[in-house]
Amino acid sequence: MNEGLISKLWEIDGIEKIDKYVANGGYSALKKALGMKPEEIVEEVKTSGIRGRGGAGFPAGVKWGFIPKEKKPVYLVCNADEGEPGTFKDRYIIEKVPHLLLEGIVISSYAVRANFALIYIRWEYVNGADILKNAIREAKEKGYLGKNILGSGFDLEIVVHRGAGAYICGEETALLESAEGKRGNPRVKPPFPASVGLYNSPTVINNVETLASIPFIIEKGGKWFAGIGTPKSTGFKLFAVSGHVKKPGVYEKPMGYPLLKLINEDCEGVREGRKLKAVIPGGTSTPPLTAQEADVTLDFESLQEKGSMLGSGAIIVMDDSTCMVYVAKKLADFYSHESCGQCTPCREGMPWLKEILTRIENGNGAEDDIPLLMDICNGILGRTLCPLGDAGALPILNYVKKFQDEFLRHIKEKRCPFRDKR
Amino acid sequence: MSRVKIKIDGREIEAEDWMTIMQAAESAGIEIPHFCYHPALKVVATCRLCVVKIEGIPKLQTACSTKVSDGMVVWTEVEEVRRARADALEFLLINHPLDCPQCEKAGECKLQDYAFKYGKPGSRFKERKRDFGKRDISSKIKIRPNRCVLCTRCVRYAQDLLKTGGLCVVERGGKCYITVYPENGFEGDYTLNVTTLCPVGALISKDWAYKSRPVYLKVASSICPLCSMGCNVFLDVKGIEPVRVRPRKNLKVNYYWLCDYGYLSYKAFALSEREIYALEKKNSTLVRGIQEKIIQNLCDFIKNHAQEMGICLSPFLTNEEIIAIKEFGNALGINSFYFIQPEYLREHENLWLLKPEKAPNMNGLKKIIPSIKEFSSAGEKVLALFGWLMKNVSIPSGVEKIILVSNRLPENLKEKVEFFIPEAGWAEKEGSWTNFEGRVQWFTYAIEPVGESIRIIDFILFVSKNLGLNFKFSSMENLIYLLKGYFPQVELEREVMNSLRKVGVR
Repeated sequence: MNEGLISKLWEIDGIEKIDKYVANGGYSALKKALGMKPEEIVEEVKTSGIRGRGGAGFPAGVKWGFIPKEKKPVYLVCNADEGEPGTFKDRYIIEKVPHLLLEGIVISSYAVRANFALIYIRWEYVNGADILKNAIREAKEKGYLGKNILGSGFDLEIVVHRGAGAYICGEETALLESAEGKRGNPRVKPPFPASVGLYNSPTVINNVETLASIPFIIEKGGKWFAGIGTPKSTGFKLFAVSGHVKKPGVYEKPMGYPLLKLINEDCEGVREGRKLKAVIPGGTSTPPLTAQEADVTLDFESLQEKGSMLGSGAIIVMDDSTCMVYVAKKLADFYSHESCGQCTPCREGMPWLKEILTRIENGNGAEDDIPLLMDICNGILGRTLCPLGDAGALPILNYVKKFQDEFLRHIKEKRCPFRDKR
Repeated sequence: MSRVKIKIDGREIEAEDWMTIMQAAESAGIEIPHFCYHPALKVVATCRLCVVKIEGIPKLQTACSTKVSDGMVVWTEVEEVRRARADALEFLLINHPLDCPQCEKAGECKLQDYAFKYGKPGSRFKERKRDFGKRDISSKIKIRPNRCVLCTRCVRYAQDLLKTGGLCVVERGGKCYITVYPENGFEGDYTLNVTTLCPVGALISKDWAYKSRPVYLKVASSICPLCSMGCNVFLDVKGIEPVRVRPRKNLKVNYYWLCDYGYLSYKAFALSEREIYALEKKNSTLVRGIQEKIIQNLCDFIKNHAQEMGICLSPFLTNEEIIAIKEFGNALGINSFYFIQPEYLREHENLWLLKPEKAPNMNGLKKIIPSIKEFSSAGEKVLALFGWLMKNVSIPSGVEKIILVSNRLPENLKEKVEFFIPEAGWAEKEGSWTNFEGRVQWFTYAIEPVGESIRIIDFILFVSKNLGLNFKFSSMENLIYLLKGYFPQVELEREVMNSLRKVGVR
């Protein structure tokens, strides 16, 4: 049966309603938290070792500790702009247990002394935004939100802000620009949002899953949370599995869970008569693992050792019918479309990659295109203002390196050898 | 604020702790190539050309956005940096139309310069170049988005400095281009600054388009004559015709900017607007003759009429010229000086760089000749009128005869003018003007006087020698010395002029 935390809750019918949520122990962590000092909560979260679930994996407690103690308003922003292709875990939390997220936001806001929190939700989550707004209304009626929460004297307003459909607005500084009503271009860092964020005030930005984990940490203690998973990657993590598996879906597993076990046992393996070819372990911006490399555990460190990343935990499984040139082309297409266009390497490099990859896929490639592709990727890597350049170039570079024979076959045969298999 | 020591390319440099690496390098004379960075605009760090290697930091950092810290060791010319720069330039050039032969900016284009200096020799781009077409963004400016490097200097200028907006980036990624808000357009008094801000040939002043290659221009470091603000400018001359005005950096007056009227101010000094031949009256018509002979006749005329003569000065005269004319008048025994009232315009909404007084040296005139009176009060029958005239002037009814030393001969004066001596134009003389706040600023010439026109100081010296007058000065240098008597706060000597002259000659 399900051993998880969040997924255990969302299996309960009707838990999106506040009564059912409270009946199942909801908002008890909030009561406990309001009895603690904000510093104690930050300490507890630091003890838990929880790392950001949005992709970068930065320890959340440390992030909160960066907030300066000046007399400026502090803002808390919940990043619900879940745009990474392959990721759909936050959606489950928002749509199925919205009150868990709200509880997490209230506790976190109390910990960093924010009286205003913003949920920046991606434009495509129309339902999710409605559910959240509804949940906020319910929580306000019951006194879990608004003025003087549960008689503690702590006030908090939560506002749901819908994005306008840009992947780049999942990047925290672009998100802030967009939330301020400007064009969603990432800002120059430093200064980091912890000191200069929303409306030039200190701002904490956390992913939905991170915030939704906070109530468990408060209720059961940071030590308990740190005991799950591996020493450096603690707690449970939601994995969104998609692609050529029999049972795709969101699986909650402790960190350090073997990837092949997740694919072969939990998801019941790839399609009948097919073999595993490659796995994207953390969303499309992480480099792929070949079938040989897939024998790895799912935590930040092991994947880094393999030259990839855990990212947002979006696992895309590809069997041997997949054309890797096509995958690379699709990625280049996505990243060139989603590049904000402000900095040179990403703006010019991504469309160039896309054009070359399209050419190779269509059978018009030349041999010197392969070193050129790698050169362009290296020209983007590490040279861009925000991580989007790396997010596009690093995986594409890896597709070209790891599946070079497939690229060469396209060029030699002047066609896509997988065309009839699909 | 404190001073820190950093090392750039092995050179020890002292910098202020608030500076970025770019500012520190600039102050030490080290060039770091850049497009998006501009000292007057918000830092966005997007062109990625100014990347440098900082010891101890794994990734390359942008010099424009990274603050210096004590002991920092920066390298701008190592292989890693060179590669990054060359890659960035390659990216900028793949979709660039490479239409330099027909581009208005060719020769002073930063992309051209950097591509030659830091770029890769060939192109590996086999795909189709994208095409955004071309359009006008205002009545004065056209845009060629294909040439654009999206440094967004123009957008930031319009948004952060003008605060009127008007320009914006539309679309995303490779489809990005700069355009104008369709409803309100990009009109105003300060729009042409974006054409000089633009490091490439994307934003072009329609007035300047296709006039000349920059290499053919002779440049004078000058001062804009259109109002009493005294904006510092470069005046570009092609052949004998002024063709362009550009702002010249002066952080005490106009920063990096100029108003649109200033950009077009050279037009008032076009050859078609001025007379360049000396004229004298014969049988009640003005006719040409031998210049020296005309001046000879003029000297005789002055000799006969010195007692009933008044002198009128235009507020466009330089301080030196005013002193020379004053000395000249005093030597002749003339004590009545008049000035031509400049135009006053207060109609502009935004008076940032625009002063209502439409002449450059009203302040100097009043300072050097405190007893100067308004022109309309002139009671003399004979009048010597010195200096440029921007438009027609109305002459007091008592005046019967006029000696006119000016750039143009207004229609309504023809009847009364006995002698007309053409004066050197804006690009042809040097001197100083005193702006609205009493700042004395020098400008130089780019070319010698055109046609028969003559610099007023030379004219005065010539005439006074002819008349046998005794003078305190014999050259420009003497005049500058005299000038110090009127403006004791001014620190300048020949070196100032000489250094200016060096700037002026390309």
